[in-house]
Amino acid sequence: MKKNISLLVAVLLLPWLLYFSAGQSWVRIIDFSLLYLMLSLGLNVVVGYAGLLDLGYIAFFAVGAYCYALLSSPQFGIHWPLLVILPIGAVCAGLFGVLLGAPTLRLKGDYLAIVTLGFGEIIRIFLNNLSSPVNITNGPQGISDIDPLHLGSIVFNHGLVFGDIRIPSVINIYYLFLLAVIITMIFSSRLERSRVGRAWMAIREDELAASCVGIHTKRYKLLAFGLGATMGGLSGGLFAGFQGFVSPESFTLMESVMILCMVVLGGMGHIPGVIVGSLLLSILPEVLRETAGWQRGLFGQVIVDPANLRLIMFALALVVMMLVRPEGLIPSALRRKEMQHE
Amino acid sequence: MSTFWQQVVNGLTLGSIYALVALGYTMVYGIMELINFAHGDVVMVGALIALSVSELLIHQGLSLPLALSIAIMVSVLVCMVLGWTIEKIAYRPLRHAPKLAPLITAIGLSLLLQQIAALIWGKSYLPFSHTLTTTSWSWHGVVISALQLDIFGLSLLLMFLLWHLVHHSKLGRAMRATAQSVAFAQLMGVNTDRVISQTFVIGSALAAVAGVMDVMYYAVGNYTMGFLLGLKAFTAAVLGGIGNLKGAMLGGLLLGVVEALGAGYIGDITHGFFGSNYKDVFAFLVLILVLIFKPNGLLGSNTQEKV
Amino acid sequence: MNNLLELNHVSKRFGGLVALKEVSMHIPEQAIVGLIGPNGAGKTTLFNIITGLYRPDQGELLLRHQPLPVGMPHKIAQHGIARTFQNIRLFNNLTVLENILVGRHMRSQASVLGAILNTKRTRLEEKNIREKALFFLNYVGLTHRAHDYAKVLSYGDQRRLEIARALATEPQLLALDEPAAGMNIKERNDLALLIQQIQQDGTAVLVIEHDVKWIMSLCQHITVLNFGEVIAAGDPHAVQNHPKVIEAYLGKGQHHAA
Repeated sequence: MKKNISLLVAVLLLPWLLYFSAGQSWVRIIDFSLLYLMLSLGLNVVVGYAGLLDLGYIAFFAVGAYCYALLSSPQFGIHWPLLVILPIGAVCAGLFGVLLGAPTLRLKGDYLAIVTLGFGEIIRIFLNNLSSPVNITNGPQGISDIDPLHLGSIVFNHGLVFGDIRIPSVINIYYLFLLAVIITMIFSSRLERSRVGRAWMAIREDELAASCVGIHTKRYKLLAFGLGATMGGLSGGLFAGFQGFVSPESFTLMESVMILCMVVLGGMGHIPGVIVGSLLLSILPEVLRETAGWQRGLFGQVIVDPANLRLIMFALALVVMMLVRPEGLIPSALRRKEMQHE
Repeated sequence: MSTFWQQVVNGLTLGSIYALVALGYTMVYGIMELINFAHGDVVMVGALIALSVSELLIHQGLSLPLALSIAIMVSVLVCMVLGWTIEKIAYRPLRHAPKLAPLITAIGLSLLLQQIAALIWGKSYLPFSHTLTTTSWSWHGVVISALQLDIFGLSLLLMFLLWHLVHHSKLGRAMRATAQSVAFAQLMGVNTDRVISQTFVIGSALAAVAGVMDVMYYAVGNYTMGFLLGLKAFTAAVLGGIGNLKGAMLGGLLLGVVEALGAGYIGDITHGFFGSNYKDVFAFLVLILVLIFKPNGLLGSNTQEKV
Repeated sequence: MNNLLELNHVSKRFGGLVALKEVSMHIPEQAIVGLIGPNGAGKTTLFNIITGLYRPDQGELLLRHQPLPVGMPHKIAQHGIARTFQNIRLFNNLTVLENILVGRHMRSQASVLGAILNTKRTRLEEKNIREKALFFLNYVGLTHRAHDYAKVLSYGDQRRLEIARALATEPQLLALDEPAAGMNIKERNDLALLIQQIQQDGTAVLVIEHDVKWIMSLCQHITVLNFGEVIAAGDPHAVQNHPKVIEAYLGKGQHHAA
């Protein structure tokens, strides 16, 4: 318990430390990585628990983001409050999850992967093209001027002033996202240890044997799709409100793949693994932005385009990490030890 | 009616390129049950190498056919080496790892190849300005160019050769045995490591040729071109029944035709609500429908799980 | 004694192959029934039909005179028929205890909402699930392995765990597909004792087995399948001396040698 409290204090202080040492942009990066963490936790329900390989997960993020964007921007002149649109976005995404999940229930492994990938791409193509003849999504330009995340008069996207203390916007957002992440984490860990979570894991391990102990496998698979998608939709809404702008470009296959990597890299089906994986993969590319500086230090000039080099190193990191630790960075032995201490 | 046949001709051309790439996916999947996500990027490497080499040789004063032949050979060779290396470094060590691990290295490799290509060739679209021939034939309003015929013919020839190799050679027999069961193939004295290597090499050679065709057909190349092409080719492989050679060929051609027809007619059908900008949707739509109604693909065998 | 399960004229074909032809058999309440026959006789197919993995082409299945849903494994399990598999199918990356917890699935109700809100009812139920699971763990003698992964257990322990998982559903009929395969004599004897214990505790058991001697001593009733047809049924002694059975096992014209 003591350990938990000191961890909480550290997490609460982190943005301030970063803000004063590394600057605002780094806090912003951490804000985004919290969103990624939420997405990873959602995908972890689908891939990690239920074992359903979903390569189009970003679509649910997109649904949530566009729901938010359409219901609180000049696009249709609608400006509903946060506490209404976030749930709408989450429910819409969840419905999409069930809708897309239903026809794929019979599919296994790689087939499922490719169909979900297809669904993801279809949604993106629609977002890209639903601008004519009726303009819904505003096409590739996307939707801008989205209302900021706000509760009544508290606008998280702006700095808040309490007496003498001024909390910068990126730190407000940090706390808001942190709250969302913590809630998601509590929900997922409770699910993991519940009858529902066990049913998912049983399906993941052996679907047939699971059905033979009375698990309605189709229902539970749909449930996993729906819940995972709901979490994706929720983070999508937060994303839209944070950015103030959405466009189809943010929802490419590469993003789905990235989130899958986050889930697998840390050790899927296991929340600490997902946390490590998503933080690592969302922060690593940003750290690698510094390659221009390193090059100057090493060679006295920039030899290779830093944007390229960054992605090359990221790709290499993925390959090497998998070669070294194919079961993920947080090994399952840890999980076992933890269970024995229960 | 002429629009219809024109789209079929265009679709078959495109489809034969898909089919060649799909063969690479399907062979690897058939043997190792692995989606080689980097395969599309091998196509891209093949395409860009051929593009550069032929430009260079033409600049040196070589005739176009000669330059192009050399370029194709160089790109096939480079891709074979590339395929071999990819398998050796990134997949072989993970053969007994959890199933998602090789998928991630594959994704990493795909990104790696794209970025290295971006370093070498830059990020802009590279034009391929030479045409072997501008000859074309018109028949009742349907135009077929010599290039289309070349692409289609060469694809068929390669598919036939591959078919022959798999069914009438010692390597082919070893490949089929390995696809059935790696363990049993080993017991029968098959060097399965070598077979898997060779499968990657053959698949990559086909990918290189497909890449060259793509560059010639669209007259443009780019470091990201492998992505969508690879995705569609994989779709084609699944459509036909992954692991099945005939399925990949059929799936490729079919996907090409469906896509061309879809792009050609969607505007009319929906009274202009959807335009040809939705053409990429068709590939996925077809795939989803097939998998829902025939989950093992068109030619895949309907295996019941053994209990 | 009343019949727990009745099969009437069940047939199944795969393409041109007739796997089962008009098979009728019955399992009395609280009995141990053996299903024997040479390889390929259709034993596992029959098993898969009873447990809902396959749909029969013809025929009916009655559980206590009520028709049993066909082709839906989870429904069958909910009707009180649990099974094990010839080639052991455990949840390998879950622990021994977790495997049995999964077996309690249909004896509990917690929903997603209950789970994420961690309601009092859910907590109580979870406590109950754990107690029951520990009971079944003890029942098959695997308490000391509770926190090991299922995949690291020895072959015999894996069989026991699979039985415990099936028992955790509190079935009326436990169907065991070649439970003694690959076991040595001591393990077989222990298994026989376990099966008898299960029977005494009120559950009927259906056992597929190759080892005729072992099953003869275990069962009160035996059905013999050959080429998808029932060739003999009855008490062990009668079945053992049935000419068709001897022929099926030893070949035509050989029974004098036996």
